[in-house]
Amino acid sequence: MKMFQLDINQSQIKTFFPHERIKNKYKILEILLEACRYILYNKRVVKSQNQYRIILYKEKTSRLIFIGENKIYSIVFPFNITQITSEEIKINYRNILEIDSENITKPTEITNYK
Amino acid sequence: MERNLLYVQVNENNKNKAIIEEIRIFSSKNTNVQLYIINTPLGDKKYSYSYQDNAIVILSPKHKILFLDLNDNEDEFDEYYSDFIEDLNSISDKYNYKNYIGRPREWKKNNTNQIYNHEIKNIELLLNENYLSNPELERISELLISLLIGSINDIERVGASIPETILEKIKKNIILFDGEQTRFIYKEFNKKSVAIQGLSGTGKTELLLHKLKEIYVKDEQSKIFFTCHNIALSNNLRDRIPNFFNFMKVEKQIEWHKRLWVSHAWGSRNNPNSGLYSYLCDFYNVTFLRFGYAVGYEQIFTQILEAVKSIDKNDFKYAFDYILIDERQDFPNVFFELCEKITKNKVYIAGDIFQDIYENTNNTELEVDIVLNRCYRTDPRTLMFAHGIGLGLFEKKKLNWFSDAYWNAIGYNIERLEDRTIRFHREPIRRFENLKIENFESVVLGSSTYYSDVILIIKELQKTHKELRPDDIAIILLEENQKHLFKYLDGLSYAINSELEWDVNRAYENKTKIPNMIYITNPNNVKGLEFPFVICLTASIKNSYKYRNVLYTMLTRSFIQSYLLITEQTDLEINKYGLKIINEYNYIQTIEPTDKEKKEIENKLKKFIQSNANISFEDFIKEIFNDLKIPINSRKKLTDALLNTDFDKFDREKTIKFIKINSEFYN
Repeated sequence: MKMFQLDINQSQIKTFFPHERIKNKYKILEILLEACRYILYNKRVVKSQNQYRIILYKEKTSRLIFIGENKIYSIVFPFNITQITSEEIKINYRNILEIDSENITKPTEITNYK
Repeated sequence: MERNLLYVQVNENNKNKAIIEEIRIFSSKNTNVQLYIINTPLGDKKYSYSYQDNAIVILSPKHKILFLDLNDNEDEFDEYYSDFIEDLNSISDKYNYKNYIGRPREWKKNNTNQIYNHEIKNIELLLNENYLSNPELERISELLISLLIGSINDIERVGASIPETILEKIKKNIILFDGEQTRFIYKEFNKKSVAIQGLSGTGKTELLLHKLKEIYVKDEQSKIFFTCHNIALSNNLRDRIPNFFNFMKVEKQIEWHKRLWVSHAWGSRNNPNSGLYSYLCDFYNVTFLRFGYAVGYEQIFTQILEAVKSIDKNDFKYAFDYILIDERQDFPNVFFELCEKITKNKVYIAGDIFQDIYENTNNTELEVDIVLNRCYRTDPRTLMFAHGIGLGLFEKKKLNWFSDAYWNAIGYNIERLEDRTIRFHREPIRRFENLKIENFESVVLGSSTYYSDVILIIKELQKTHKELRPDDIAIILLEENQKHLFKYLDGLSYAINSELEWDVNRAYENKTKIPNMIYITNPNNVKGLEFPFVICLTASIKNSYKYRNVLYTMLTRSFIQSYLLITEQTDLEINKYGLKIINEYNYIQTIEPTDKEKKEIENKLKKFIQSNANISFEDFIKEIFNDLKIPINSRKKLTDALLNTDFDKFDREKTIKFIKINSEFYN
């Protein structure tokens, strides 16, 4: 089992721990895409002391766990994640579609428009 | 020039003729003094005085309000003065200014002056003697003037205290209508249609709202239709009007669809109130036509016009008393003819000039009643540089060139020198006058677009402007959507997050402005917005019309400073030199094209505009593929490759050349 861990910086807390209840699929999709983006562009940490962090468990089925000050929740991570170099990570969907910035932006535009 | 700086709302008579003439001469010689001559407060028509024909009131920012007696009747003049002050006080109370500027007892003493007939000397001396050197009094004086000319500011935003820094000064700037703006609102024109035209940022829509308020309040039985082409704009206007009326303390209810309609020009068949055309169809009993291939504005308005013309004079009824039209450039002439026909009193029309750098100048468009050529959004130097780089004025080959009349209409005074050298000057704008901004550049050219460069710029801004907030800054990527650009934007966003601990609003995703976040976007979501600071990022300065137009528009989004960071530095020297001249001398210097060159520019533009008209890129490219007999299976690959080129999407010659050269590699 592989595990990725990232600290959530201050400005992103409200993205992953929104004030309102997560009550529809759009919101989950939004969080999933933002988490992908966050994983692509932020450094992983080995052992974190941060109160807010994201953990990605990579197994046959992967899960994203969001750990906050008073709250922990998890969602399914439906993508493959590959480490290219120590810095660079790539995410794709069944080797068909790369989940990169452009492919994160486009569905986000749609979920924002609803 | 004089039209902008001097506004006279006094009926001329034998007593005031001489002094008004003197003021006119003074104003034409002093191009930096704004003057308003009135004898009653302009904002509200209810105030009038028995002595008003025998006195004038001179308003000028930075000066005391001067009451001049022209009849030598001291008692009556004193009464007039006291009544005027009482009314001004009641206006100040109405708009909540009282808490900020204090009671009249103080400002009457410090900010006004009565001048009796025997004391009147020449106007220059009078103004010099009543100059306010104390900034606090200066500000109160400006607030009083704004009340008297009806240019009401949000007092909670503006406040009476003196702003310290440049950023604060800009945010708390007191807006005063200039001469032309005041003329549009208060002057009675002798014709049915009154047209105003101006650059974007000159306040046209705001003026239409003021006009609307004016006629709505003045004429209680009137029926008014406010229309434009765009549905989004009309929705936005409809939302703005109640707030605007509340803000202007209009005490009358808005009677929607009884006295006031705000909607786009077409509408739908089943709801007469949904648009101007649908209302008129209902009103004059004409069959409603839907938009289609052969049905456009020209057809529907001609149809109504003919129907209206065929009505017998005795049976004819006017549909409205007033019509206000925004964005006149979207409508054909028949529309205005129709509006005049069906309107009882007046049609007010506002239009944009110079929306695109590839605008095909049409001199008939310039024949309007009021030209607003002072752009209040942007520092004149930024505007000059944006025009310079957008139109290619610094380069040998210009992208567009206008007639002298058009240059004037967009706010330039022309100075011709030897060897076809030409200088374009802009007049300074009051908003920027007191800022002492000469010391810093209004446009900064940077040489790389690394994240660290952008962050460094923001850090510098933080240092210079202590109260800088994230939403004071916009970062705009000038290129169209390409894969690596999204990557760049995301990388930059996180770099800002971690280094500055500021939130980023990805406006290209959510299309809204969010408080307290840096606005970061591609060029598509910036229309109508303005920021104190704009950072534009681009790979290189391309030669296509569309790109230059985007560049021009984005640079003018800032009202303090624009940064332009360019990765590729080749051929930049001429633009840098152009900018240097603008910063040092406040004018654009360029070489006027010869007649032959002007013809070439015109032809090239014509081709571009024709090829661009009413055809989608897909149709455009399909036609070329068919002509060149390109096999279907290689078309998609070629189209993708074409989208990544730097020339204009609709440049036919280059597209054909590109396809011919590359077709063998895309099988």
